[in-house]
Amino acid sequence: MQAIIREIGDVGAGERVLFKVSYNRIVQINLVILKILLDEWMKQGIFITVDRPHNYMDHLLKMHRVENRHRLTYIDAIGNYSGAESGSSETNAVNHTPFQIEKLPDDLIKGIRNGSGMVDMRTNDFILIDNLAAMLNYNPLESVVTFVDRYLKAIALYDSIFTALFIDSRNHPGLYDAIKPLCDVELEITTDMSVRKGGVGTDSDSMVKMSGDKKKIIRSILMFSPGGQLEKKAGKPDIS
Amino acid sequence: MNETSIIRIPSGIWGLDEMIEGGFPFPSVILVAGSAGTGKTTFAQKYLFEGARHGEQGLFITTLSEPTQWMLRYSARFGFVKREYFGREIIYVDMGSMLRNASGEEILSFIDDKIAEVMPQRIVIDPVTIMKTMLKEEDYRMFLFDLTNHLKNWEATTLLTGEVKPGELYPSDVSYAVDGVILLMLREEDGARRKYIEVLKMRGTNHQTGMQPINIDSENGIMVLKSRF
Repeated sequence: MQAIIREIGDVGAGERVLFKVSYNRIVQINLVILKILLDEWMKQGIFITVDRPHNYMDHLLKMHRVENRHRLTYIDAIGNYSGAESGSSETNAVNHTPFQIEKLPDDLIKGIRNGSGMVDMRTNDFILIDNLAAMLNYNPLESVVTFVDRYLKAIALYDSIFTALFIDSRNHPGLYDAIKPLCDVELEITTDMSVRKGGVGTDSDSMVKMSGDKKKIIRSILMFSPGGQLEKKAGKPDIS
Repeated sequence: MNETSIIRIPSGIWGLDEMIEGGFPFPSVILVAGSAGTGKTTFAQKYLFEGARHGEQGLFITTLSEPTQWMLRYSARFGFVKREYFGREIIYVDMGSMLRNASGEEILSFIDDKIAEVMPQRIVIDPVTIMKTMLKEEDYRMFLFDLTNHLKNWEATTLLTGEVKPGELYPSDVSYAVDGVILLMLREEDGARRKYIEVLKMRGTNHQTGMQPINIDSENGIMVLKSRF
């Protein structure tokens, strides 16, 4: 976990991170990232579930003693179709469907602009989607790519939101190739849980910037102090 | 490659992957059913050791079939069993004692907790059919539904082994809830009992049908032999 903390600690606020993860480690990595964001850095955020119902994710977080689960809001795109019991009163969840996923950003944008949509982005520090490839079960590839593009543009309205996408590039090369140029940073998690920057080797001294756009980092929500200690800040992002 | 194509993991059983388009769907829940002595536990062990060989975490949950120590004592004679994987790449959990007085909900919670703790990519519950004797009929059906649902939500492929009663082809109450059914059978031919495997169901898979002869040897475990039909 420390390697992941170190790497995402270097990610600038507002940068879009693409995690390359093997198909059989995606939930594990989801949990690790959420634990870091919620408990280590005391952040508040949104988790979009497409691969499994949010109840189960919440259950796993509980099992792994993630204390600040209340800081997480779920957008559950699969719960209604999973046979899972309806959301527990402990979780904050908004139900959606996995179909026509490209419409989802509209609801997010509404929230971003006036707080009247699914969730108010102004009160959140991060937003994650559990497994992009799971959307391919319900939507054509083009729709998923359109969704990701519109979704990332919507999130970009906020410089301080940490955004992460998770994909198994080996099994979904078409989606990976289409999504990669839309992201700023690529981090590959290997089977031994070490991190490769840009998928080019462990000794790379800087992350690969894929979009080419130089981003102005207004405020880093995920950062280390100069001494290398985690800075635990519970503050909300500045909205300008 | 079709982007929506199902991800498959090798079963570890020689000759089986060719019958099921390359391996078990991931994630999924597969029932391996057979009467006593057909090789269900050997099948399950080989499956976990294959995963361990590829760096995958395995979880083997034994119920009330036999204590784990006895199962391991006999399994250890197989050449594919690497003792260095015990307790590391493959975690063994004996839930025999807790099963005696547990409700379906408690059993499910126990399994859930173990999965969350071990975070396996390969899971075995050996055998699942013993739960039927512990729970009421209606509770058992609900338990199976909840169990398979939870297992599918975790990112793992799970093998449930199932005891087949005399005159029964497979445990039908389990088979409806799973993604795949593999039968291991004994048939009497020319005065000798021979072992066979049949893929009865494998969702999302154009699987080979019909019984195929198998052999169990001490080095490789179960091997599917070339069809004699």
